[in-house]
Amino acid sequence: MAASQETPFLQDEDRELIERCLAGREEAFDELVVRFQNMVFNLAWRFMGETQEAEDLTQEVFLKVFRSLRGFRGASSLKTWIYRITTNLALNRLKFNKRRRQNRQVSLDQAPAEDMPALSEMLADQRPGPEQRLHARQIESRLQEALDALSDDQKAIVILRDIEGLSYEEIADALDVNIGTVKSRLARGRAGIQAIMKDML
Amino acid sequence: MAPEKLIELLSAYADGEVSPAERDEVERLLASDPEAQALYRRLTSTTSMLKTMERVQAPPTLRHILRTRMVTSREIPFFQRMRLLVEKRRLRMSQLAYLLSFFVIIGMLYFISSSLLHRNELETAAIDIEFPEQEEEIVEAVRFARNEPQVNEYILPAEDEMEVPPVESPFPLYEGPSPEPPVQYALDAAAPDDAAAPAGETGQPMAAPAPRPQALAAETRTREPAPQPETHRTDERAAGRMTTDALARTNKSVTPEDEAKAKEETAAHAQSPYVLEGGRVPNVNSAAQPGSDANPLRADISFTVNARDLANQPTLPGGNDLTLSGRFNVAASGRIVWYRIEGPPAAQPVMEAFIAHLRASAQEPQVLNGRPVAIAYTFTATIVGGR
Repeated sequence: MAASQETPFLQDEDRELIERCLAGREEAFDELVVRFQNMVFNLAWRFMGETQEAEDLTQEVFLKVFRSLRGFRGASSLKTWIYRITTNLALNRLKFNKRRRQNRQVSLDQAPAEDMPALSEMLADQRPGPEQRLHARQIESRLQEALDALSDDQKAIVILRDIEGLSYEEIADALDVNIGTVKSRLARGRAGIQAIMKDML
Repeated sequence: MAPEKLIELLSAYADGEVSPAERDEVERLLASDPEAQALYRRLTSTTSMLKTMERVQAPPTLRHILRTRMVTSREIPFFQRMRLLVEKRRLRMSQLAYLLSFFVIIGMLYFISSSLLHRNELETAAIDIEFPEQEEEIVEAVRFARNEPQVNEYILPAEDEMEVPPVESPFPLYEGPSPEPPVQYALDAAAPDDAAAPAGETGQPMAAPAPRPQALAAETRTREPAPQPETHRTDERAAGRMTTDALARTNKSVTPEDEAKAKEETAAHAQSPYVLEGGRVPNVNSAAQPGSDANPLRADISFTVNARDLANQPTLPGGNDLTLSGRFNVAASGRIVWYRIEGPPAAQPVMEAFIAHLRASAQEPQVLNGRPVAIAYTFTATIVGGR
């Protein structure tokens, strides 16, 4: 691990934790997981929109963290570094899922079997009405739908800023883009959500 | 101002990420432009809703799943995986230490008990043979046989790696004047069929191979037949042919009459060599196997002993030098554990004295490559007459 003057962004607490992990202390691995698991899982859940995908992504993130810890130079804080890993892996996974969905595209107007209704009718029937939902749950669901409707780049920045509360500088560091790009993508992402949530604003 | 630029400016203003000039511009705009005010209000409402989104908690099983995946992941360093595995199995180092200590104690108990049992077995073997006075030698012989795997390290190395040290006789060599070539014992000349005479009679090393150590053990354990501590016996052909007079004559000076009588007696038994055999292992010839020339545990030696050096100074029959041949095994401690020599029947006293001399002389431990070993000697001994 580099000396503290070479790693200005790294806090002493993080540096000590990394050193213990590199020394093979299993309790240090546990501590690292406990400290960041909710952050990573929440971010993963917002990106992926479902629990199983979020769990898989979270495991992948921590394995990546443990593998790459020796190469971490402390150019950013440990938290930002983990955000970057999570975001990169999430974006990769989203791209992969989009390609997979395109390959498995099924027409909603086509009945899966002769004696079954079309998928569009089945989905319409199963969707609960507004009166059956709690208001907060409805907002939550609509916001997630709005997030999912954004491009991956905009979605990542909106999540990191408005849900996770990272500063522009941290976002730029995590996504490896400049501040101007962060501003423009964030504004477009927020505008996109506004458009979808127009009836609730 | 373009709508996109206005939205970006308002977004940054809402986050406090604008320069002082931009802040002044936005505040002036919000004070005068209702559309900008509505836009800003919707923007702050959106960000407020996003901030209130529920924070999802990681499932409690995540740590365990993660630990399992780390243990099985080949990209995690081996030792880290092993440590994680140990913790996953809930095995602590202290528990491993206890487990190790348990096996060490079991091993020590087994070693001690097997040593005691081994000793008891050896003692039983000695008692069974019913020669308590020679118990040590018997125990030694059995131990020698039991150590056969170690001995084999010396018996069976590669030939190019073997360094065969010079094997010297453990007995004093005759330092007097060189004896004349031993006169062939008179009985030999009188033998009607030289070709049938045993090799021992002709002064050559015995063709019969020396017994292997395992033969000693096998024969000792089986007690078949019961051995005798000092078996002075003759072949069945010579049995009973040694008279008391002949024995008595060997203890006094030889007269021409004695010599003539001895010639007569021995001529009658020309083909009946006297066999002197002792030790704990009878019938060794039945289990004997050929030895190897490259075997350092077997040695062929020739030496000359003055009859006057023998304990009871026996007189050689006929006054001639006597050539004996035979074998004897010397244990690692230097004791002779088995011997067998052959000679003319009339030479019995000389042979007995010679064996006594061997037993008295062979007391030095035999060492090969720094380790005590047992050596099987095939010898040719020339007993110089007591002239």
